[in-house]
Amino acid sequence: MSIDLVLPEDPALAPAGDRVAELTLVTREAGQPPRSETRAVDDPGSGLDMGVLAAGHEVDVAVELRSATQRLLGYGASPLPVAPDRDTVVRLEVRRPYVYASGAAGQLATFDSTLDPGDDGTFGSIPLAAPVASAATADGAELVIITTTGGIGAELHLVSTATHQPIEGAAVPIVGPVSDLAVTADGRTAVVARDGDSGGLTLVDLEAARRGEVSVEEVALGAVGAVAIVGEARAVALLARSHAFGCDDTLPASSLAVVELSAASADSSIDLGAPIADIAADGDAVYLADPCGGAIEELAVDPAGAPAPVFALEAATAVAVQGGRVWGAGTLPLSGSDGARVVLASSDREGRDMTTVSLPPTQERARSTDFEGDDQRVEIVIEADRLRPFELVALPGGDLVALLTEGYFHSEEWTDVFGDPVVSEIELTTFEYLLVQASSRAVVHRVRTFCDGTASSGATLANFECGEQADQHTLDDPDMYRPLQLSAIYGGR
Amino acid sequence: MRLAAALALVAAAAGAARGDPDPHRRVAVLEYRGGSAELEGIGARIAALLRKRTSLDVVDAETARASYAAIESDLSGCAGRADCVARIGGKVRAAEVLLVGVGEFGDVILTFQRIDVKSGRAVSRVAEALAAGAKPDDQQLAGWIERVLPPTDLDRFGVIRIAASETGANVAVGGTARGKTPLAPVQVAAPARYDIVVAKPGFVDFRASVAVPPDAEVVVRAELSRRGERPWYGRWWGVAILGAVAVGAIATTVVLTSGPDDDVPVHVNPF
Repeated sequence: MSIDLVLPEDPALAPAGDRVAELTLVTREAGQPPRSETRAVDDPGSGLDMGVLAAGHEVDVAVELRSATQRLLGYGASPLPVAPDRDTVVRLEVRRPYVYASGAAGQLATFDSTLDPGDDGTFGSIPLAAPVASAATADGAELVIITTTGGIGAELHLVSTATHQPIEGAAVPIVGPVSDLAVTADGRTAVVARDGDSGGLTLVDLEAARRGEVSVEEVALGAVGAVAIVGEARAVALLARSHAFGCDDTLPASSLAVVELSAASADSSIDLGAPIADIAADGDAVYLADPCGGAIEELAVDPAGAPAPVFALEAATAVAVQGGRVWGAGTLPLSGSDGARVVLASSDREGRDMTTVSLPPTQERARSTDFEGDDQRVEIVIEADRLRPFELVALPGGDLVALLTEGYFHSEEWTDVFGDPVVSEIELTTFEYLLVQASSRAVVHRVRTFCDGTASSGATLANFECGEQADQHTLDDPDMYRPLQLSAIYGGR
Repeated sequence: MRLAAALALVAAAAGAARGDPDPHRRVAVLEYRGGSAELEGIGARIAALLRKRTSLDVVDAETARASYAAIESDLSGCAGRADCVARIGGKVRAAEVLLVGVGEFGDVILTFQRIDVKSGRAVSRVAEALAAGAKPDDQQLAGWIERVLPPTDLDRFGVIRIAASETGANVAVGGTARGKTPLAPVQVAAPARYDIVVAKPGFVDFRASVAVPPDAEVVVRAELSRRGERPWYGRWWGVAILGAVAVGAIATTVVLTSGPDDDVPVHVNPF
């Protein structure tokens, strides 16, 4: 069996180059643990022998390119299992594991996980008006992106991951506020989740879109907050999704609609019994982030079962699955002088082999604009009162996860000994993008995409602007945006 | 009573290098544990298997400890870093270290890392996830060794030397003509069984089947009988040998044809 690695020609996007020191072939037979073989890459132009595979045994095939420091530089995977024989040729689209965030007014934000914040090109963008959701196809070759066109109008576009340029084809119109997006493993159907009373799913024929034609079907379900693909032919839609900070048991219980894609109709509905904040799917299993139950849960949809905990996670609000591992993001509340903090946990699908990473307490700085001094300034450091990780993507390679968080920060008014206000009461709302390396517990990227606040008047120091933390990359006012959704090439959501 | 064929085993050097790592190089098999007590004695088992399956000059941990008392603490201090492990390999005069790592990450993670002592780099690595308490058998261990070592290490050779009673006789080994007697020793892949035919006009063909162990020389004494004489296989013990040979040949054929068809080599094309 030979493997062709297809890399972008643009060196700014290609994962090859002098930094690639190792190539690892990862194969996984259904029901078996993954097997990996690594070879040093001295000369990419001479190819590599990667051992043997058993003839005829279907396996998932993936290739990882790593630097000498083990950083994942490129990844490619077969979207469907491969049956090895001597004549089999497997073509893998190898890409840098980029992360994409929607929500900005004029571009899809790009984050290159192979680079550090100080490197050129780490934070970039793909010019597109008002993207609200994106998803990569399972072969890593394309990005499906939904943009808003004003009001409740939206459009679906295709972008090449090799060039970050639009692919010739149709811009498919979609009606309704879009909340989420998923693509089937065969890359033929995009399943668009629509919010609002007339919400549901829109099934877009991507083969037709590539030919410049428009072919869509709609499934009316009500307000859909998230969508995931189950198996090869079904989607699950989360209705009454919770967007609360942690648990809000006054919210209605969520439910799951199971939709048969070939029939474009709802097959069944499952009452989840509690407000659910996020869903993910792997094979025929659905995973739920249950903030009030304090757990990441597994749910069988055929036949419908009851949610069963995979692992406990306080205030779980986001879930993702990648490479057979289930990831969850939750929050630990304020404790003493420490602010709230994000907790990441992962395990295999049976809840074994669990790891937990507690990120440092989140802080923000409010900088006084009233105080004038050549070499001095007044900043108030505020611990997070509430945090909400609301989007989670596990990157290929098993060690990096990207997430979006919303934070609420509150600082009481400060008074002098006579009771006169010196520093006003401050409230800040922030949104951040984080890239976390689980093995080292390090925050690799921390980008604040949005910060806004209010300060009560009457104090000596009454006017503030958002400052920045030492480890934080921030956007200027005109560029700030509230991120909506994350995706990653070969990443699991 | 005259024996028509006699077999003798003597030590032999085989498997000349052709740009591949020397199949006789000295390899230290060292064990590194990341806080796991699983797979006790795995390093020693791997060393024993390498001795059995390859021509490598294997140094196991016990042997290494005799000349390098601090090897275990130094190895622990390396924490798996290839350059550091390579320096330890150099101290036991190894060309290469096969580092067998045992760790636990829920499952037991067993890794094999080939570290080139001269460059201080890992040249290949294999990782396997095993259930806690798993006890891999020798066949599983051999499979992992085959994946981490270059194929030439497992291409073992033996030598067949034909000592014929007649000169100018045609020799075929395993169905391939090799020339006329007197013939230089023939290097063949081993372990394997080979059919040997030594034929000369006017003489009854000499036929035998010999098993060739790796790193060994098999001497075949071919006494050719003139036609009309009672050939060697016409005697009762000759028939017994042929029967045994036939069974052996069938078994060998099955092994050789089924093995390669089950394994598909994987090659990553230039990129």
